[in-house]
Amino acid sequence: MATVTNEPSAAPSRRTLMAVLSFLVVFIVLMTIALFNAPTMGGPRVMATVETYLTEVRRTALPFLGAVALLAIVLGLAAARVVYREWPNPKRRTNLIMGYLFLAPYLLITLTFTVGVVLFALYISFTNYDIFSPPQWAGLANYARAFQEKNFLQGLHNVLWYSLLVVPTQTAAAILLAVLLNSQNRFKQFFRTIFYAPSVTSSVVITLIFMWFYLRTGYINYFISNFLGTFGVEWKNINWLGDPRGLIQLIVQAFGGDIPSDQWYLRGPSIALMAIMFQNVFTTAPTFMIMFLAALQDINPALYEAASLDGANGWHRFWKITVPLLRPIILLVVVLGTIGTLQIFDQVYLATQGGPLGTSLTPVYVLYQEALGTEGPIQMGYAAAMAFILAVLIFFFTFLQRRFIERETQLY
Amino acid sequence: MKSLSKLLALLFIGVMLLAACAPATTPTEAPATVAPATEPATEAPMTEAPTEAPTGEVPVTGSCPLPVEEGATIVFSGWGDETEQQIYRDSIERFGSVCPGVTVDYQPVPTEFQDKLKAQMAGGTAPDVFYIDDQLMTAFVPTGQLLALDPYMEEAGVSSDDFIPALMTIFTQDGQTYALPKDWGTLGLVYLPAAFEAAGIDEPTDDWTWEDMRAAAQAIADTGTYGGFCMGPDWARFAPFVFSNGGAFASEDNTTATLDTPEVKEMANFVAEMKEEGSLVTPSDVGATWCGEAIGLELVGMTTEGGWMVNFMKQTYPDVEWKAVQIPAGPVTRADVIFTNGIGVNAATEFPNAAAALAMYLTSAENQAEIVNTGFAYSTHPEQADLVQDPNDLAISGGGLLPDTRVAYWGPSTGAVNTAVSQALERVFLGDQDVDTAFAQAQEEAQAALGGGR
Amino acid sequence: MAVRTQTLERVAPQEPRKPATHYVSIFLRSLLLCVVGLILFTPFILAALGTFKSNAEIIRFPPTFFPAEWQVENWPRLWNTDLGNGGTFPRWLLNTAFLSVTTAILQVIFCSMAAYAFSRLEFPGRDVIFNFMLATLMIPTAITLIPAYVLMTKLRLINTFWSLIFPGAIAAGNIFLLTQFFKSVPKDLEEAAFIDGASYMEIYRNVIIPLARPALLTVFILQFQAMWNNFLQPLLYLNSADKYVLNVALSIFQQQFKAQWNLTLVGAMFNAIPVMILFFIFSRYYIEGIAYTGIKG
Repeated sequence: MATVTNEPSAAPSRRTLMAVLSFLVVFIVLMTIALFNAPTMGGPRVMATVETYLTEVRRTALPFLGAVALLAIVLGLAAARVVYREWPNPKRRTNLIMGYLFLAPYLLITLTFTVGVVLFALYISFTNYDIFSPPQWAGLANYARAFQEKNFLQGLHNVLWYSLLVVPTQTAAAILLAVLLNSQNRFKQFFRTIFYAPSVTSSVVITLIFMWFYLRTGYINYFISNFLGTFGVEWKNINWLGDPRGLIQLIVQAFGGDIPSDQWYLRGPSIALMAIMFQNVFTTAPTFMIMFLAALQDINPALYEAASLDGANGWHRFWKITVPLLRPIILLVVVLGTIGTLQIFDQVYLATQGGPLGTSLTPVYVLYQEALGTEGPIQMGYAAAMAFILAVLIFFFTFLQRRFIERETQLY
Repeated sequence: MKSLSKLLALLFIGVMLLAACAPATTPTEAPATVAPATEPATEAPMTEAPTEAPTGEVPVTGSCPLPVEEGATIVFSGWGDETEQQIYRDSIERFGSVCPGVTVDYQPVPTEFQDKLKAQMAGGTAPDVFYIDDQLMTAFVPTGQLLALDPYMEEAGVSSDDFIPALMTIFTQDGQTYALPKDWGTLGLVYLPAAFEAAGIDEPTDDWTWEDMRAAAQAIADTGTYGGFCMGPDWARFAPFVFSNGGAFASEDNTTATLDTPEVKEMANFVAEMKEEGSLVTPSDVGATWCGEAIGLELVGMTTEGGWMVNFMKQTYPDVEWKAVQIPAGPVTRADVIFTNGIGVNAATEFPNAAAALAMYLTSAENQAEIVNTGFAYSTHPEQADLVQDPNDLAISGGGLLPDTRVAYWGPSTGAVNTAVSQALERVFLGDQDVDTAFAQAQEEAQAALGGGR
Repeated sequence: MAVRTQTLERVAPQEPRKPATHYVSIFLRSLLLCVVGLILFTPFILAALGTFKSNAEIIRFPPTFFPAEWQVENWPRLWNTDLGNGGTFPRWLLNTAFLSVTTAILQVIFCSMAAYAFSRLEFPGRDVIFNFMLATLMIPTAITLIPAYVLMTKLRLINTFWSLIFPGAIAAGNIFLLTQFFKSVPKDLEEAAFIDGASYMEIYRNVIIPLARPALLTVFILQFQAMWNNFLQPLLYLNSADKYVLNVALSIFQQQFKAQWNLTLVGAMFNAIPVMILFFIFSRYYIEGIAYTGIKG
């Protein structure tokens, strides 16, 4: 490795100096974060002076600080090694510095407000913690318990179906809407705003409106029965949000069978859950639509011209030019969609509270109840364990998606 | 691009300028805003109350319950819509005239009150005085976040016996009182006279039993125009059935769930049969979101609802005529379920005397009487039971004073136990399981919660 | 170094071999636009009409479309609320606007910087940090609710706007969005600029930013909307009535699920209309923007 340096023979010690410095910086920053995020109570009394806070920390948070210290040492060493390696080479040194300079605002804010909280949550998942008393070590007990609790398992089941059905639908809908909007010249602004309306109205209101639509005596039943009535087909009004019959169960029932109650996991997504899915696509597709709209602007129109001169029709142009060029955005929408659907909470909280028969339970809803103690004592540790199980699942899926969808665009 | 960034810059500057020009925030003080005199005829009931009070426990107007700290400033928080907020603002003003020198900062939290309070308590920034319900009792009492009020009560001459006994069960633990009840609600039999007329049967009376109700529901359902009896799969609506049969969801010491006992299952079968025969409907069966709405929309003949029906019907369905009688009796006794909330004090408060004084004043007979007059809630003092003005409200409230009436409180995991019951009812109503299976499952779930879900 | 630009030209229509199908397709497309637009816009219309109805009329079945009587007093009623301590409607509107605009602008700046680093620069640790950033999206808020609040108290930011501005100045989702966009911008221009001796900062400012305008506008709108509709954080972090944001203040008029629908809908309108207006204005820059044709033509 050629070391082209401008410095005199002080070069090696400069390197080591920077390496040691980076170790120290990483270590100190992480420990400060840990200190502030320690599982203690807060408030004016505790924070009155440095001593009072440190006493509080000593009371509850020493194991936590120990764990973070280990992490900090490892990361610090990694940082030191990187700096040591990159420092002599001016081009790579500039890259390193510029890279972190551009990342600086993000890093500062995230280190202050996010990293500490995440570390805290990770640590807590291995303990029993009710906020007001020191955390009690519990090892893997919380994780084991999560996998045995029916509510959590049913939540996972529901949310996997949810993601499976909603993500492709909303992505496809978003692309189609964007392409539709992009092809019209007059009144473009007007139609764009109209199409965006569902995403703009607050989710609370849209949920309430849909709850009203979904009533047995509501609009949706009304329209369907009128529509089918013109063909002479009779329609029995469904209580959409209260109907627990699963998709697969309905198919089985059409053939005269049924799926018993204790094999609930075979029943597929319930009608209630699917009603929420529809509402979800309705509200999120426009948001993803505007991302696709932005992406469509970057496609060089000359490509289309050339293609149509070669005889390609609209359909071909769409599949062979538009879709491949949209790949990075498709990945974006799919990943964000997966993250969003696997964490669905608001609609369940407002509309169904996990019912009927637990067919709209979601992991986040279950862990919300434990984290905030709505049904019993606060069990933060158990909730944190569930959160991390979910996070690992999400990470796994999105990792696969990134591998699969984006593997060819690296060569762009 | 230039015009765009100009636009953005203008937007930003505009917002900043407006923010700067907006009126400066007024420092928070004891409510300087004079509450408009809204309560009609507050004086008359006031003079009635003492003459009817058996023991004359009404504190003398004009004296503070406790000697308060000099220049105390306390923060008071609770939930509630506009009406409730106004009521408490008025109460605080009355408190201010009785205990001058205490500044109360009222910070209502419109929703998610429990979540916010728990966060604040964890962060050490919780208010000094706040609403308490059973969920908050569970969260705060075991770890000592609430101030035990007994020494302050003794000094002020306030005793637990001043309050309706059933209400104090939630707020007392290990012999210590941690909150004082601020209001309560209960269920009564609410009905549409029109439905009874259509079915050609007599209207309910205060002597009714559940069997009477069932027969009437059947008759009304037969008319085809109205549903019979409306009931959702809700533990709160099921509780009176169980209590009136001498049962409960858990044992006396809250360690064993009793959901598979005959008392509970008999009543479960009762409602299940009613559902099957069509005399019982759920709100979603008739296209309403809750049974009160079903009454307002004139879709059903009867239901069990509480005092909130008065204001709800007045505001939303003023033209619909409805009436109420006391909760019907069961095979063993007549008993009702009570819902209550209290006012407690933060153990970390800097001004315990002032805070305790506020808590005691808000729940005092004097203040409670004022609140009853607004029709907002019932008084927590038994001797003020007949201050309720609306006759329907009065009929409903009667259920709260019955000797066997109780709160559906089963210790720290109350929520989980009650949810198990609601879910069992849901499974039965949806035909997913029969009563025995459903309640056996509920028994398991409730027992797991009670046995320490750790 | 000049970037040749031209305003967006529409793709030339096909040779008029079959003029009939061409016009038919335009007609069909317009029809589709109208139908889809109607479907998507209907809840909004219903909500808007509902603000002029009385509460009873809203929940009536069969549902009515236009109000029987137009009750215009719901709107001024909300506007004139005064909760004491300086809690008034114009104030809440201002608070919300201030927070939304500020965080939106900050995000456009900070997120694009981070996205530039992730998509264009090569340095060790880049992928690790990127993955970590994505991972932070996967932790549900319920877990971080109380710990984040406690952290805010330790930092003494409670009841200040900083508690919302600081964390709101970046968002992992928006950084991800911009990263993907930057990745799809061809590298030719940058390489040309690089050869001409431009520094990273100059490339960032003069090449990437103009080209990514639609994406940046998207981030602005998304963050504006996110902060405008934010409910839980302002509820927790802001205590005094004069600091409330719109959403929080409006929830005072709700009685949980037994909501006073008509007032709730007025609140929803107050929430939705400014964002729609913003979107309407900005979407002109958003789309009819500059698209470049590439150096090789």
